[in-house]
Parts: sequence; C-alpha cells; structure tokens
Amino acid sequence: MFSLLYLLVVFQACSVIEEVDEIKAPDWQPALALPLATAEVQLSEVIDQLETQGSLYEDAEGFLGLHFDGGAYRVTAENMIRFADITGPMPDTSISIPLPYDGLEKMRLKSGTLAYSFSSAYLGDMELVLRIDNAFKDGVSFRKVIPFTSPASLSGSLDLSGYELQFIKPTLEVAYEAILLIDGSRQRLYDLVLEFKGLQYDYLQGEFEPYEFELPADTFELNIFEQLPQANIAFEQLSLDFHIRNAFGLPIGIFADQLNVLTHRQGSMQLQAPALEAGITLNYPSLEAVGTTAQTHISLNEQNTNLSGILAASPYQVQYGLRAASYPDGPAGPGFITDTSSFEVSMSADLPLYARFSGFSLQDTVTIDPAQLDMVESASVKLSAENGLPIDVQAQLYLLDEEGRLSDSLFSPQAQILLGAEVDAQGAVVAAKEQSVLLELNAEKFAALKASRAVAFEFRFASTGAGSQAVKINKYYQLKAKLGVLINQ
Amino acid sequence: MLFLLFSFCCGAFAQEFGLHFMQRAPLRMHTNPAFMSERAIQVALPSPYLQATHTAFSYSQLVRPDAYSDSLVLDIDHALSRMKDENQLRLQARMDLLAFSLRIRGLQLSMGTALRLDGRFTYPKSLVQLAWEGNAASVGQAVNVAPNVQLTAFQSYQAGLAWQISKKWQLGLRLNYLVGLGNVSTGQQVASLHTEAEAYQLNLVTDYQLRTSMITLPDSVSDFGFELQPYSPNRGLAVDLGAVWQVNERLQLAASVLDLGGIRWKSDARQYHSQGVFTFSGVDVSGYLKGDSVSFEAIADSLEQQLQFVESPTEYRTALPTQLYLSGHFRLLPGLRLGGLWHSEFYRGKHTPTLVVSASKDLGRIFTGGITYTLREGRFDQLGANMLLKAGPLLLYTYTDHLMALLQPKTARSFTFRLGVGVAI
Repeated sequence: MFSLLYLLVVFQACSVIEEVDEIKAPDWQPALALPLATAEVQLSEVIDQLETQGSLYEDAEGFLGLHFDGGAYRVTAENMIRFADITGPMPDTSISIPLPYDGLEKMRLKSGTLAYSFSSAYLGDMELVLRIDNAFKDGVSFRKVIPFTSPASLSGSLDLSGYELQFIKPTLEVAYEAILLIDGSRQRLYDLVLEFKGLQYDYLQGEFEPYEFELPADTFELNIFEQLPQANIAFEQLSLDFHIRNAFGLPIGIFADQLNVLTHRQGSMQLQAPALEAGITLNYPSLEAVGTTAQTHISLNEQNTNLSGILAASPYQVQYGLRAASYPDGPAGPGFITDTSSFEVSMSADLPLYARFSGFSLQDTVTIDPAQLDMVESASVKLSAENGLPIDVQAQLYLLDEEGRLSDSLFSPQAQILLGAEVDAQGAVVAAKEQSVLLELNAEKFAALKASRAVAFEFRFASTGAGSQAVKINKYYQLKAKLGVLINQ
Repeated sequence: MLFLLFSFCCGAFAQEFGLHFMQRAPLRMHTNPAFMSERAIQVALPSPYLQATHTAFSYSQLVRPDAYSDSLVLDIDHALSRMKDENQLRLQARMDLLAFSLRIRGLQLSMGTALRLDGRFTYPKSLVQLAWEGNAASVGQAVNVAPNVQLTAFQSYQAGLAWQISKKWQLGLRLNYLVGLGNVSTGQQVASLHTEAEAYQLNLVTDYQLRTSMITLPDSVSDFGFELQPYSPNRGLAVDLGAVWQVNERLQLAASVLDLGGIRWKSDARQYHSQGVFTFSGVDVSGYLKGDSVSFEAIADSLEQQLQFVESPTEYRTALPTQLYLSGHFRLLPGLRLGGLWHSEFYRGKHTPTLVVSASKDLGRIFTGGITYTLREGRFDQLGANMLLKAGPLLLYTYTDHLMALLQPKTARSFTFRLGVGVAI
C-alpha cells in the first residue's frame, strides 16, 4: 500500500515532466521604457565644428561674432613729386637756379649728379671751384675743385648723393671760381653750363602741392552660410571697418566715392556714410617721427550709416571706391615725404551673431530595416531638455517608399522639440528653457513606418519666438538633453 | 534506489506535523526530544521526507489551456494575479539515514544521522512583473528586484536524552552536530530599479550580498558547481529542547524548541557584494557633437564595471530555522485521540505560524490511521492523512499534510510526504 502511494506520487510527477515539453512559450510583449541618449554640450565645445566663412571671435562677455578680412592695397609716393633734370648756364659766377616746386625746406638726395662743361682760353694751370652753397653733407657745404691746364674744354660730373639741400627760397644757390694759378687771379668762364641730373630724394620736407592719389575700387565678401539664401536672417549689427596705415608726413583726406552693398533680397543698395563721403583726414606721423606709420580706423555701422535697413536685406558683398587727396583742408604747415612713404588701405567687417532667424534646416536620410521593428506595435519618444540656446527646433520625419517617394510624415504639424531660451531686449539669454516633449507614434503611424524603406529627418531652426526675436549667441550657452523611448510590443 | 534518489531532492528543516501525532512512529521524537518510545529499542531505517511549497500559485494556475487552441501555455498574467508582494518557493528534504533509541526505565538514549537540505527562494512580485510586463508601467517608481536565496545542505549527527523525571513530566535534550555540505545565502538584499519619468533613465540601487560555501557561482547555469565533501570543515551545533506534561490520564501537553543553532561556513567561503547606485542614461553623444567618436564598447564596459559583484573570501555563519511545537493530545476514547498543534518557525526575522488539528484511531494493534487539518499561510484546504502499520516488530508509516496534493498535484501549492520504516522491540 505504501509503495502504491509512493508510485502514485512518482507517476504524477512524471506526467508533469512529460507535459512540460508540450507547453507553448507565452507571447511575451513587455512595454519598455529605456533611455536612448544623453548630451550636455556647451557651445564653446562645438564651435570648431561650425563651417562658416570668416572667423569666429568673442567679446569680453563671450558673445560671438564673425570677422571678415578683405584685401589690402597700397598707395606710394612714387608719382607725387618727381624732379626733372635742371640745367643752369652760369652767366655769372653765382646764380640761383629755381626749383620746380615751391615750399620745399629740405631735400635729401639719395642719388643725382652735377654735370659741368666749359672751355677756357686762358694760358696756364687753372682750378675750377664749384660750390652749391645750400647743399650740405656732414655739415660741410658742397665745394669741388677741378684742376685743369688751360686752354682746355672740359666736361664731367660730380656725385651729389648724400647731400641735403636746404632751402630758404626754392632755388639752388650755385657759384664758381676759375683761378689762374700762375698769379691767383679769378677769371670768368663764359660758357660754363651746369646740369643737375637724375635727382632722386629719399627725404623731402616742406609744404607740398595738393595731390590726388589714385585708389582702386574693390569688393568685400560677406557670405556667411551657404544656405543663407534659403534662410531668413536679419542681423542687428554690422561694422565695416577701414584700416589705413599712413607713412606720409602730411595730411591726407580719404573720401568714399562709391559704397554699394549687394543683398540677397533687394539687390544692390547704396550705403550712405555721410562722414566718409565728406572725407576723413588720416592720422599722419609728425616731423619728429619720420619712418613711422600712423593708423586710422574708420568704422561704418548702423549708427553712422543706413546699415540697419541694409542688414534686413541679407547683404553678401560690399563694393567700395575711395579717393584720397593731400591737404584736404588746405595748407597745414610743413610735412615730409620719403622715398618709401605710402599708405595702406584694408577693410574688415565684424558681424556680431545677433540676429533673428528662421528657415535654417538640416536634413538627412537613413534607411530602415522593417524586420527590426516587427515586434513593436507603437512607441513614443520623450525628450527632456534644458535649452540654454536661444534657438527653437522643430523636427519632421518623412517616410519614403522603395522608390524614394514621400509616402507620409510622422508628425502633423511639425514637432516642436525644443523651445529657445528666454532672452532680454538685448538678445541675451536670461533663463534656460526646460521642457519635456513626448512624440507619440501610434499603431497606425508605426505601421506606416514599418511599411517604408527610409526615413528623412528634417530639423528646422529659428531664433527664440519662432524667429521673431533677435538673439545673441554666447559661447557659454549650454544645452542639456536626454532622450528616452517607450516601446509597446 | 530510485525511490531514495527521487526522494532526496532538496533539503529543508522539516515541519513534520503528521509525524507529531503518530505516537508509535520511531521518528516522532524529531518533533520533541522529550517524546519517549513505548518500546525499549527502536530503529528507524532510511526514511525520506519531502516538502515543497509555493506560496503564490500552483502548477495549474501557471500552465493553462490556451484559449484558442488545445495546447498548454504559460499564463504569466494569471500567475501574477495570484502573487502577493513577497512570494516564496520552498523545497525541503530530509533523509534520515539511521536512527536508534534505547529506553531503560525512565531514560531514553537516542542517536541518529540525517542528510538535510533546505532551499528557500523568496522573490518580490515586482520582479516578475518587471520581467514580464516591462518597466513602462513603473515609470517614476522604484521597483524592488531583490530576491532572497537561502539554500543549505548539511548532515546532522544527533545524540539525545529523554528523561521521565516524574509520572507527569518528561524532559528531553538533543544535541546535533552539524557538518555543512554547501550553502548559498543572501545577506543584505537591496536591489531596486527606478525608471525616471524625465527620459526613462534607469537607476539601479543595490546593496546586495551573496555568500556561498562549497558552491561555485557560474557564468551560466551549466557551469553551476557543487561538490559533496563528507569531511567538510564547515561545522556547527544545534540544540533541541522538549518537555511533556501528562496532565491527566487523557490529556497530554507538549512543548519543544528545535534547531537552536547554526553552522559556520569556512570551506571555500566567499562573499559577492554589489553596492552602489548605477545609472544608465543612454548613450552620451556629447562627444559626438564635439567632433569625437562614440564608443559603444566603452558603454558596455562601463555598465559591466558598474554592475560587477566584488568577490572576497569570508567566513560566515548561518542560523537554522528555529521551530516551536506547542501541542495538546487528548484521548477521547480508548484508541481514539484528538490533537492540536501550534507550530511556529522563526527564521531571519520572520515568524511563520501554523495551526494543526488531528484525529487518529487505532484499529487493533496493527494499524493506526489519522487525519490532520492544517491552517497555514492563508490556506484552509490542507487535509492530511497518516497511517502506521505494525507487523510484528516492523513498522511502516507514512503521512502527508495535503492529501489532495497526492491526488491532484497540479492544483496544489504545497506538498508534504514522509515515508518511514522502522523496527521496534
């Protein structure tokens, strides 16, 4: 009896064990909530990834801007004052040969010669002493002695390089003595001709004639983003800067003859810069600062021009033509010119990233494997973000069929996945925006997703307030985001 | 052998309610060392005991016919509906290899040895719910996922003394020398999974400690290692105390406290401890946005590092579940007895009470049969039976606390069975 009871137990256990093989696996469909991704990024860490024309800069508070450098050109003194050869017959033993320029005080010759020719009928040894009484070298005036035996006809040249001509009046004070050595008597040479040839200065001082410099017209590119034509962007500030380095020691005025701005929206617009149109006198080195340069910066911005109206039209190129003239305000006392004097004009622009914008988009397409989504019936994606950037972000996902044609979109309307941070009246962020967005894909949408072969993502960016507010971009702005998914199988 | 092998499946600290009321069963003294045999000499031959309990659901409440076909299916949803916050799967087995008692007048000496195994797996409902339903329903909540495991195998060598100090009083004392054969036990058991509502970040908070002795924790189930070493250095002691008061000719009251003691685990004793807060927030794409690459291998390595258990050698002690028997036996008529038993188990800070009532009848000198009714852990359907057959000096006895479990095991949540053979002279 006891064995039977025991066998009953064993039999029951065995029947359970046999039955186990026939048990069907349950239909396991857990609903899972899983984190997908997290990101904490400060703008300073991703700045290097941005592809822009121009170079990024930051101000003392970390607000960013784009700096553009244009080309430079140089204007020299080459054609300003040129000396032709000066010929002076000597009807007397001393004459004053006039110079072609009034107002000169000094002229240092880097090259030049004094050519002479004469004939003498006297008999005996003679000496011709030539003097330029207002030419000095090392404190000693020009005096050359030319011995010869008369009768003779002679010609030659004397080197003038290194001599400094000092002018009380604009003349060369030249004299000669022809000495008959036998008795020391002074004689006259009636056909003595002197010629100053190849005079080239390395320093000129005095008051010069007004001179108009020839400046070439130039253009300056302001292309910021490749997709600018497709986006709406209106910058609040722009500074167009002219940088002039002037080595002329005299006042030079610079004038804008042409200032045009090409824009994407309104074509060519005239930039009105009254101050530059009226002329701005450049800084110049004083007589005590020969060899140095003085710098002048001329800044055109929305406060001294009509740039505010031009900025809204999305400018991309500045066309400018300048004119320069010495003594714009009339005589200004003595100045100087050297053989290397020049002034260099360059242009740059600073564009603070302070704008209202919309219509920027990033797009990408990924293929999907429907088999991987087989088990999923519906899903929702949750994005929690603390957005310290003043940028709204919308997203849309387009479903593409095997031919790549659009079959459906997942969100209607576009999903607002990020709201831009709050900004003050000056466009600076005052508070990050915390938000949580749940993007739901119901069973119908998920079925459509599973039936498609690719998904095109589009993210559209705008400044805070759907592009209505002008915002500044600061490198310390931060974005923290967490992405999770809830899957129903 | 098949009989023995099948019987010896797991170990536990026996709750032998039916045996407590079988006056002539040789092993009755297991339940109270003060119980004395009617015979001078009693020998108990190898005798298996088995108890299996699952507090949550029965087999038939898990494996059910599919609604749309003839096949059977695991109905986890139904099983979940049957679970409480905390559920336990308990397997206990005992093989009394040999027991011997010698009674000389008012003294009874007893000795014996047994292999004992107790396994308890306590799991929270939330763990099963999480695995089956996923964590989407518990977003924003902390879910307890910490199971508790207590698995102990040991051999006991008993030596007992029962003393009839007067006509009314009997006292008993039994010393158990314990040799630990293997142990897995949970110490600290804190593990909770929190799914944050923000973006479903997963936070696992653990302070979970697992200790093992002579058992190798596997990387996979097939690697599970257990080596039986009869001369293991894991030793312990336990004491059983008992008293019997014969109130009058008909009424007897008995009280006993069993398994006061424990085992010190030294051999290959290890501790595995995981402590900390482990957070997974998804892939950190910050580096990607800065122009760096994202390494998924690094993420997997980081997760593995965070969840790693720190293993360290350690000696530790486990206590045996202490049992309390308080019973009354009333001889209603000659050969007809009524009994009542209050049983308590005290283990790891928990108290499990059980109430048993019984009635037994002698049919001549050959056969004794009885029935028991057990109220335990919210169950009111446990009707048991016991019987003892005496053929000369040979005794055969068996009992079960849940008769229906024998007849319809698929519907039972607990099962108890003892089979015994002995000789009484």
